[in-house]
Amino acid sequence: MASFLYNVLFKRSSTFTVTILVSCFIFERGLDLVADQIFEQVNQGVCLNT
Amino acid sequence: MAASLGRVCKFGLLKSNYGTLFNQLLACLGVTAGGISALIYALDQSVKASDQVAHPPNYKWGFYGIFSSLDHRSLRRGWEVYKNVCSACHSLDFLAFRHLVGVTHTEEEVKAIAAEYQVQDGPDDTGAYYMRPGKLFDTIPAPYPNEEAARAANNGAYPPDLTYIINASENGENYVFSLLTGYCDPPAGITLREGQYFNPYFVNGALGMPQIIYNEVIEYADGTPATASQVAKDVVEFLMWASNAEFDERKKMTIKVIGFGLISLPLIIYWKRVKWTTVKNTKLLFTPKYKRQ
Ligand code: HEC
Repeated sequence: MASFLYNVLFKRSSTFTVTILVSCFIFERGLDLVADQIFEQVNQGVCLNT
Repeated sequence: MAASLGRVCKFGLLKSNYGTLFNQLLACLGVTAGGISALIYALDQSVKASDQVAHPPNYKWGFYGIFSSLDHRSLRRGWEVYKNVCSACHSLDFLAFRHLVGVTHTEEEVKAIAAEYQVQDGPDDTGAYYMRPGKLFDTIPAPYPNEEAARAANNGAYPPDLTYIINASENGENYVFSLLTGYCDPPAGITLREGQYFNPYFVNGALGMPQIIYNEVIEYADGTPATASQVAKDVVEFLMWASNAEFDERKKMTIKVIGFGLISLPLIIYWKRVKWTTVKNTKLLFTPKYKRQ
């Protein structure tokens, strides 16, 4: 598994760059969604969209 | 960690009996500086008692929690209060109608609100200025054309622009709330000029703004009972938003920063251990070379 990841994603700078960009996008989007969810949970009935 | 630090400094920092005269002097200096700072802080705290003013209590605002947003129903009512009460004297120069969209009202509602105002525009083809109904991009029209007109209409007192009033006054939200609800009869010995009203929360007590918030001063569209404290609370919450348009965004950012911090903390700890493992495990040996006899 680890060597597979290394060979496919991290070994070459080109694929490494793409990996960073794509995983950043997914991670950031996920974090945003989770944070907004928590925010709306905490402020139920007070903030927008609830 | 301590061990490697000790190795670098030859254990000098960690020895307990290292107190030379210089170090003792340094310690004395530190204690003195700390003491003086504490004294200055304490004096500054107590100085507040000499002002001729009542200090507003700290109310339990719903938005005080570290993750708490503003109450948007309250903001909506707060706009009603500003529009029906405060806007007779106070401007809100740094807000445009479009800022209300998605905060207090929907886009359609704000368009309707803006259209109720007449705004000067121009010049047209003949070079003349003309009045037209307000649009989303217009700033909220001010009650007076300039400061002189405002003073002339208010016995010489200038009603300040309210956009940033919460941030502009110390302990803003509590101060403005207390000011609006705190009018009372002046105590003996205080003389008020024509057009002045006594308010213990205003420095020296003589305020140029009459009490304007009473029970039922307006009627809320959403049916909330318009008690004086409710009206004051709503307008202050609205002004809080006006001063801090990014308030809710900031609270969301807090959650994100904490979340990202929690994720990256173990990674940083792991990375530090990887990098330091060579330093920590390096052993220096001195191997003397013996001359072969
Ligand atoms: C009749 C006109 C009038 C109305 C209506 C009015 N104000 Fe005022 N306001 C004034 C004047 C005049 C001053 C300046 C007072 C002074 O400097 O002595 C003032 C000052 C203030 C101040 C600043 C006090 C300070 O510390 O300098 C705040 C805050 C304020 N008004 C809030 C409000 C709010 C909120 C409303 C609406 C609920 C409102 N006012 C409605 C006339 C008015």
